[in-house]
Amino acid sequence: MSLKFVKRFILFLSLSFAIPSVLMAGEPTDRIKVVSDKIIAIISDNSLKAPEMKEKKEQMIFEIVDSAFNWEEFSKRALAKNWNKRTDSEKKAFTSLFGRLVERSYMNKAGQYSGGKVVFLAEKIEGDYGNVSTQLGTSTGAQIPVEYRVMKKDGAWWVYDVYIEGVSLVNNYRSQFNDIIIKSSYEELVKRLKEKLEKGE
Amino acid sequence: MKMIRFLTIFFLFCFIPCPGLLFAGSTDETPAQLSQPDSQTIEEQPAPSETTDKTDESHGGIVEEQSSLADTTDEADGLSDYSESDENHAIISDPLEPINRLFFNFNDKLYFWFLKPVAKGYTVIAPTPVRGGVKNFFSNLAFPIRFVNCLLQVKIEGAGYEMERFIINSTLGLAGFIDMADKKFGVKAIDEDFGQTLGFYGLGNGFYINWPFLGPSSALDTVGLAGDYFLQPTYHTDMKTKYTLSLKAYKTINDTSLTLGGDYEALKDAALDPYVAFRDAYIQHRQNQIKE
Repeated sequence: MSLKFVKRFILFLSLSFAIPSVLMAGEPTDRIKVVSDKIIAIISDNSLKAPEMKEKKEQMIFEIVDSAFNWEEFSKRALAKNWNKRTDSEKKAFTSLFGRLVERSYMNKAGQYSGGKVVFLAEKIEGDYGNVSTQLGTSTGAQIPVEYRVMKKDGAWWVYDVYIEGVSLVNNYRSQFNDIIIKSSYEELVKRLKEKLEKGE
Repeated sequence: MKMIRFLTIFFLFCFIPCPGLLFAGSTDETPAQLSQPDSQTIEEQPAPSETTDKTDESHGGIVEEQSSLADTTDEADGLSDYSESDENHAIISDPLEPINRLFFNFNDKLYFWFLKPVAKGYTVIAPTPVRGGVKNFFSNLAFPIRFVNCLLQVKIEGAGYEMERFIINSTLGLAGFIDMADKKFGVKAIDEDFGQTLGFYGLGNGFYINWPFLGPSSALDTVGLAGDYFLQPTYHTDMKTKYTLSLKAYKTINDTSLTLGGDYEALKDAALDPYVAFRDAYIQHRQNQIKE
């Protein structure tokens, strides 16, 4: 039986895959493409591979990430209801700390996937919000879905959340921040953020 | 004897999804049912009122949406209202937190002190293609779990794909070691399990449980795990428990050897509170799987 069915399945498959998927690349995709291309270029740049260049390399990547990621939007969402309770200077300080933390983790991930390939799968825009789904192929052959949530602000598209394998980075931090604020205080959260950043550097 | 009975049931199953393939596509989307589990697991839903109008809409957006991969923009739209966005976020109650944290630390040590070094040693004797093959082999054996749960969730198309995968991989894929279905025909596994089936029918996650050895889980998924146990091929053989456990251990080491790149370390390193980070990642991941 198996041969007959295999044949039928193959026919079925070839038909279902005959319809090509049309990818409409728009502004948000272009924006992320530029960032990911630049990062890949830096990671694979041999002149930057030496250990003494590590800091410079990181700095370069941070600058690129900063140009497309809106840390204030990240922070707003991650602090959620606690954001409005903060003063302007607290907001500013938090944004910078949180941005650095995300960048560092992003950086670690990026380093880990050096040699990986980014495939742009789809883009959706609705008003001032959109998302760009991509797939990151790692050197070990695994495919990791990465989705960028973007919003239009001051005429440009900014990333305000990243979903890695369906897990929202902002939501993940929100759970942690909320837990810390509930159990102790906002001040404790800032203290722990600072400690975390110092430890990693 | 048990083995023969198992095989008979297996082949009987083989005939069920084939006509189903003809209708493939018609049962593709079931957003109405999918909305059920979601509303239960999201805590602190705002009471419908005029002031929370916007959020309510976004709830609807998320709920109906994530059933299909293609559209998720409404969800993005929902998140736009940042101050309310935490209500959209699946949260799980954690009454066992002290014990869970204990086991989280236990598993963490188990990983760093035992699993990781063993898996690293194992990579020396087994090259990546072999380990990938072993992973495929185990995955192929777990076909009944995915297949039956596809059927239980009336995902006829998914069940058809799984059947295709099983037939292609068991034959052309040399008993499952090569994932031919994905490689040559682009048919990917439909990852369904009993926990997802229960979620699909509207059961909430319950509370969070971090099992020793097994790791993050929920009350729902623990029941699901027990259900899937009966669909494991090893259950239908006369294999002694110690061998079953050895196989399980080997599978774990093999799986670990393929993720030595540092996924665990990366998430742990990025977290302010790793326990909460893993709990949240687990629950987000599961919610996603149920919605898919």
